Amino acid sequence: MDKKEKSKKTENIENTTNNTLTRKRLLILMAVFIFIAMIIAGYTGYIQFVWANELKVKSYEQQNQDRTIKASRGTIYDSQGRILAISISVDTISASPVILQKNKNITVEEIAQELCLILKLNYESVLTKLMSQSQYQLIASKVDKNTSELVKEFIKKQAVAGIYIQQDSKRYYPFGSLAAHAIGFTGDDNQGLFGLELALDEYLSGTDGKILTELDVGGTELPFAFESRIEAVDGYDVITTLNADIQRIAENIVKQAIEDNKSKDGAVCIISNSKTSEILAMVSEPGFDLNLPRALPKGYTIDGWTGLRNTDVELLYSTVWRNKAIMDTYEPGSTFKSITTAMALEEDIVELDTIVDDLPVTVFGAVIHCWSKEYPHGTETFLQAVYNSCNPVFVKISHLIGVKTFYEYVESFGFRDNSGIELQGEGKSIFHDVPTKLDMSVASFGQRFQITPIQMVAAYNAIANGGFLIKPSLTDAIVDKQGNVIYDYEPQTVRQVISKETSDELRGILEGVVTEGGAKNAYVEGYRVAGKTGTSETIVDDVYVSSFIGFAPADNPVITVLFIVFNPQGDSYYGSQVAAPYAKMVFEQALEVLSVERQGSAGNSKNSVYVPNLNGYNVEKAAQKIVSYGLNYEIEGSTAGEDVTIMYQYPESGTKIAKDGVIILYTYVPDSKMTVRIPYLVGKEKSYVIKTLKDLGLNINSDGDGSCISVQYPAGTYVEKGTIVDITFRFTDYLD
Amino acid sequence: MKSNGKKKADFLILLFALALTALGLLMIFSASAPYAKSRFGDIYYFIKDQMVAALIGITVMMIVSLLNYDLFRKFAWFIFAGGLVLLLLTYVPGISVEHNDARRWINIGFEFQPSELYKLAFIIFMARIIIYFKEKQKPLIGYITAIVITLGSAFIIYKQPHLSAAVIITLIGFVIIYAGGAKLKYLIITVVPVTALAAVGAFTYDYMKDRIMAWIDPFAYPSVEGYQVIQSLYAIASGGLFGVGLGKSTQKFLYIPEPQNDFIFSIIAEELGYIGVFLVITLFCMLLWRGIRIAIFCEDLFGTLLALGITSLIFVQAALNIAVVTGLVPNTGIALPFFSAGGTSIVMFLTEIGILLNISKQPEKKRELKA
Repeated sequence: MDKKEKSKKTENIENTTNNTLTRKRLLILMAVFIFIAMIIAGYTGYIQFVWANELKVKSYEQQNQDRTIKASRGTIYDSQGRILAISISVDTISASPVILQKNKNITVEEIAQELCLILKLNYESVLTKLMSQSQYQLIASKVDKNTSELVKEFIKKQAVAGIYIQQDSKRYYPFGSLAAHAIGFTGDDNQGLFGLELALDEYLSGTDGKILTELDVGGTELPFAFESRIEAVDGYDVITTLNADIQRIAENIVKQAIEDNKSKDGAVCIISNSKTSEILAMVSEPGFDLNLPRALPKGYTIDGWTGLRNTDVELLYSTVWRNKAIMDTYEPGSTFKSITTAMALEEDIVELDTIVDDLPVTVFGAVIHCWSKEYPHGTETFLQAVYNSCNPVFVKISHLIGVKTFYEYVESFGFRDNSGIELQGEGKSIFHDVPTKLDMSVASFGQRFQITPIQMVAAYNAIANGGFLIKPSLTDAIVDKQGNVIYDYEPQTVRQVISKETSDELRGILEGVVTEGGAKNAYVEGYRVAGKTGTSETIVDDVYVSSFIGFAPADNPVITVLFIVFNPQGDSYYGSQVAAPYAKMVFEQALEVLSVERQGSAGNSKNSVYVPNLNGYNVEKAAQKIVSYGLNYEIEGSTAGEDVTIMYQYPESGTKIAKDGVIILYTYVPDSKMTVRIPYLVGKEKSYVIKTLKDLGLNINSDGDGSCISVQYPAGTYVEKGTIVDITFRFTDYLD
Repeated sequence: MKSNGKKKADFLILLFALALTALGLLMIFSASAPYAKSRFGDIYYFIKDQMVAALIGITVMMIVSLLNYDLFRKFAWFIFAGGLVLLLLTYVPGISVEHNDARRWINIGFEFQPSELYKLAFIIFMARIIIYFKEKQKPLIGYITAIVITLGSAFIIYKQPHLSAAVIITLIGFVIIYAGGAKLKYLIITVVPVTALAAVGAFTYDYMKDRIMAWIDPFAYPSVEGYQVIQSLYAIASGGLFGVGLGKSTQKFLYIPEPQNDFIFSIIAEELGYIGVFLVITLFCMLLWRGIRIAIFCEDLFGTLLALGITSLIFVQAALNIAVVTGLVPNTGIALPFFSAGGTSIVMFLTEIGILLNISKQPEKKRELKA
């Protein structure tokens, strides 16, 4: 290697080695980098120590908005432990359009299409949401798990970014429309909006928890759990007094009554425990499905219906959401006569055998006739007047009670106040501000004033239960999730309205109304039903309100049933035709559910029956009755002819025998010369009665003078000529 | 090579790198768990992959530390050609894989990001080019070539688009050119127009302008452009001095999208507080110190530039990431070395540490030649 070559190589080596310049520049670079690091460290410190206060407030606001721990809403049960309302887990589906639009393997349109398909949404609106330049868009809320599972699958299969599924809860009503008005429903945030859901919201809702991020809490068990949190307190469960079986029975019968009577304005049925005023069933038709409370009511077509617009909500409130059982007022009509009767008996104004007459009465020039205007009942006992539902009699009685006392009783029976049931929106009863004697006269038979159905039920319970007005209630107890009773709802007695004696007497009277009087259609074989029918006019022509209210069993009432049909347009509008037959069905089926024995028997009512009395019946009627009892019969003697009458039966009436048992009937052909039929004599003058019976060849053993109030044998019975008939007469000591 | 000329490998840089890797794994687990749980139903979804990648990275690092870095000089052209081919494959349909609107990934049996690999190939090639033209004694042509390679590479990556990687390539390129002894006159003539061009570009494109506006005031754009930075600031702010405690971040639950990725630093700040922030920044500075020290003590310019390139790559990327997360620079997707989830990334950084380790223990060439 020569020198030049060597020097060049050295130079080359110098060039490719780490020289002073490079080292200098490396140090400069490091200094610059360290300086940058210091800026970054300093700035981070500035964020964490100085700017932090402002930022923390902002982030707290943000986190607190979203990071609430939702309390689980309490469950609503019926009295038998069946779930009426429960919160179920659902999902909320949202999207981040900005992220979603970045999906390359799938277009936004395809995503929108798929989402609409799964979630059954409107394509245009979903697409608009997904095409927007935003970080968050709500796609669907309250999506059930099965559906959200499909969305999850779609996200996974197509690897879609930007769709999020969050857990939420939704109210679910297993029985759908059952007891809709009593149970009520909740809004989007699970807040109570209606019915018990609203009335008991404070117990059901619980308290939402919060996640507090700025607190430092040590000792974590789970590394990912939020430690700084206030736990949510779950809502309490509510055990209602409702009985889903009885409610369903009542609803079915109500629907049938509406259909049969072509009711235009629906119907109401309330079934209450007579002694405690607890509500077992509350039906108001038309109703709605609690799971779809905002559906368009039947028979309406409204453009753009959402169920959320003000006009939509107004319509819902005035139609299907309206709980007629507590919100509407109606004229009770004749059913109110029981109340007038209660006043009269309590005030010792009449006794049952007081003789009255139903001649028209004139009050301030207004003439009040008996409903049976053409054929007045004439003179009768007060009991008969009740059976016959004679308006003038009640008018006259009310005059004896007096306006002041009459309206004191009205108030005392609770007709002036809200019944106090938990539900909100009770209607206000309508009475004259300063009632006159005429107002009272008309009110005495239940007209020209309005009360709510629930008030009527509470009043009848007072008649049935020994005289106590008890606040109607739908709540039995409120319990926490561990089953501890938080509130135990004991029946709350408002006051004693009438004495036990009056109550006992009235129960007997009202049972008689069903067996003998105008409410015969409510008669239930084996159950002693007591009650009264009512028919009242409304301010609209040809629009009537037909009702029946009563309780059973009469001697020891278990349930009170109010059955109202509004605006029946069928063959009849009388309570006895329109309401009583359905009330009868309600009694029969509800008492069966409650295992109330027919005729107070201790045996198994399903398999054994009490033999009815058949003596004196003709064969045809007797056969009908036997069949209705589920029994068979054999006839000994003549079977042909209309007048073939049962002389003797085996087993005797009142004997308990197995169903399908055979009753042997001994018949005879009554000799028309030998036997006679007892005519209807009650209310007739003594002289008339004596003449009539003598003409028939019968003898009389009379007690007292005046009008006939009772006859030994019921009208229609065949007796042998020459029989001595015991007849009681009393003077009509009550005359207007 | 004579064994007596060999130095011991730089133990401290290995220690710092492993400390960063370990801390990184811990934070990925903490940050990703809720997201992994909600998205995949498995809290270990990300950490499993990351641990495997870290183990592969450590293995590769050890192997590479045994390979004489001079091999990189010899094969610089092949390495660069290979890197370039892989990078260009991101433009080939069928091989290219897109995520979030960008073709940064390729799938050749497994999926990875060629730009991570390319960064190393670029550094090796830049060092090689510079010494090549030094040997040829053609500083101007050498300078121009280096600038062309730098800006060309940046352009290819920018078009993916991968702005942050393009910026990093540009910065590293200039750092190597500067340290390689380029005349300041040349540098000023180049850097001024390039910066001006970038500035004009930034305000020409709308989406760039939006980003810059959101950078200036993120709270004016809370739903889209400013969203990530705002959430990141909330997280950092709630950390304070000691942090809310490991695993207790609330921001990671819902607010910071994919918290195990680019914004993991904000979770560190939230959970570990300023103590954690300071620790992480200090570790990167320590790494920088050892890396520059290796570069300075390396007698061979190629080794020096290689060590510098790698060191500045790690540092610049970390600094840029933290600057983005704290809102110091406009938001652009950039991973935090050793911390952000991503297999290619951790393997490449550990490989680069392996190269640094090898450089640190090489005998001093000059002395050997002189002798």
